[in-house]
Amino acid sequence: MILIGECFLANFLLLLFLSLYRTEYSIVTRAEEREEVGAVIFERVGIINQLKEGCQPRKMTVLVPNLNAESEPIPHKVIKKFGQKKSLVDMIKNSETGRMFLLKSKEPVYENGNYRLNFHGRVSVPSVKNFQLSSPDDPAHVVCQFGKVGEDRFHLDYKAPLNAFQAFSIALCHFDT
Amino acid sequence: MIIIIQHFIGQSPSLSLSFFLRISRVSNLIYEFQFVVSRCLKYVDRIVSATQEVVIFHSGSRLRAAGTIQEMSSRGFSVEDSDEENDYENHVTRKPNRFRKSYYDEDDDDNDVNGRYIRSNSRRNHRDDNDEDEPRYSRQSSNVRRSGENFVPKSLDRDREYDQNTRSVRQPTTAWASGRREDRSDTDPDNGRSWNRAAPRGDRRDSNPDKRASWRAPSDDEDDRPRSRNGYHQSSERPNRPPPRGDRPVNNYSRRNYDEEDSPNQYGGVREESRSRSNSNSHRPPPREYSEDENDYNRTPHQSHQQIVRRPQREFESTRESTPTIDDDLLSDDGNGADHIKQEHDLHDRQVVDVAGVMRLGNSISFVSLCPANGGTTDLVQCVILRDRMNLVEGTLYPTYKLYLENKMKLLITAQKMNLNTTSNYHLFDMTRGTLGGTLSKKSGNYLGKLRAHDSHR
Repeated sequence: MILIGECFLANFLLLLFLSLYRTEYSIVTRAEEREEVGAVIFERVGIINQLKEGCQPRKMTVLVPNLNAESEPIPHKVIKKFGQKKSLVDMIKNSETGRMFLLKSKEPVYENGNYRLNFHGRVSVPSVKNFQLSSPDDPAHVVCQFGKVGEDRFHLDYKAPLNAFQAFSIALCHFDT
Repeated sequence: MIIIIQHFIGQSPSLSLSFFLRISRVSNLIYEFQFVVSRCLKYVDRIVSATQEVVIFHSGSRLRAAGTIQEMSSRGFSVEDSDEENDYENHVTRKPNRFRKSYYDEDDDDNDVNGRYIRSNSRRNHRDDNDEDEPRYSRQSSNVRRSGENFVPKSLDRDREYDQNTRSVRQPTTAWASGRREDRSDTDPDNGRSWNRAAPRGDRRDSNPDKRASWRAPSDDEDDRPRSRNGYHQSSERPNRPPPRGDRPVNNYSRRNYDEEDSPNQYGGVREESRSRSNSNSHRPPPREYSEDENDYNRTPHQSHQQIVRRPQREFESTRESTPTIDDDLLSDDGNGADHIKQEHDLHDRQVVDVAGVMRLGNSISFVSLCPANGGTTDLVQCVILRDRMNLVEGTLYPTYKLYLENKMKLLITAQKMNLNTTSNYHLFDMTRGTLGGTLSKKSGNYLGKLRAHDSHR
């Protein structure tokens, strides 16, 4: 069990500032037409709630398209339907995920003023960036976990519905925010 | 036997065959019948026993008449004159080439059996000594063949045209004029003779018995056949004269018997000659009798067949030896690592072994865009992200992130944050492929995609 986050004032202000703008991410392939392989949305916390309750762990939602027979994700083509573009982010917002993989960050357990998650020894430094991804139906089944080990060293473990590209870009979202 | 066959006149041959087979179980004496009947299966038209020759004429599927040659001729059944000729010929056209050809060749000969032997032997020696005289004989033979065309029935003539069309040489005179050594099987009638064909048979029997069993019908010169028990091989029991001229087209099997059994000394002499020749001149091509076969139309020589079979194998081996595969070239480190890791029993290492397997599989698709094998059953793939902030000015704001496989520290993906953007934009590059000059650009093949932040407020 490892500490997730300890709030400092500067960190808090930075996070507050960033959370206003950078809350939605989409993973785009290199194809000419816009094709998305994943989407990440961070739950936006209001300023009043943050002032009230302090810094809370991030809540993240990830949507990943299905896999084909070669275990490669089928890219989602962003096409205008009825005058509206429907990207994966919009699908998360409208909760029209269909048969895609919807993953959510695992909620940590609050103990003694610290939020704790079990990383099985893979993470050694408490950080805001640490997270574990699992489906909301089965929270015990962890698909992806990311945590800080050193100053510039992080561990990223991932599993089947995610590939390296998706998992790495999800981790990059955490670097960014 | 004749009585039995005559009993079944008017019945279907299969019925009589089943009857024969039933009898043959009873005693070994009647085992001969089975042999005859098995011949009946292949060549229903003509049956030769040791003592008598039996001809069966059948129209359609019914046996029509049976008896010895004398009896049939006395009854009025003769091949050339009677109505049964048509049936017989129609049947002959469906037979293998061997039958047709020997049948055809016998039209050329007017000599006695022994005389023919002597003549053919002399001719053969002559041809082997000096090859210049060879065209003369072939021309003779062609003349003979042309003259012999008058005697051949229409169906046979048609077959022969077909044969000539299938073979490449249609005009033998051009071959003589150019003086080329060609396949003389077309122009030489000697090769088609039964005695000439019989010569290599003993050798062939030793060499590949399976093939012989496949292409040969139950023939006369088998050593282990049941007829030899009854002593029918002895030439004293058999009529030592050629059959009359009128029966010759039908007389194929009887003639073959004379050739092979009545004159064993000459037969053996020919065989020894061919052997000694082949031994003395090893560089020469094998005697023509080997290649000249009844099934020679469709058959390629054995050596060429072997070469055809072996050639792709050699090419494959050479390519394997010379150039390693892409897998080994790209991922040799991981392959060795995987072998090494298999010996250990660490849980995490075994997961990485699976990853290496995926990497070896996925050459067409980059490993980075592949999910780990076996879906959700495998445990987590362990990677390390290193943040590179070497550049003090820009590195703090726009660092590069590198994703490694933790086991071998193999670089998978590099991410660069694009500067001068209001919303963050990361470009991701596949590093499992080689990079040209170390520069990463969007138009290089390494570009995987990007991670783009949306501004929901704007």
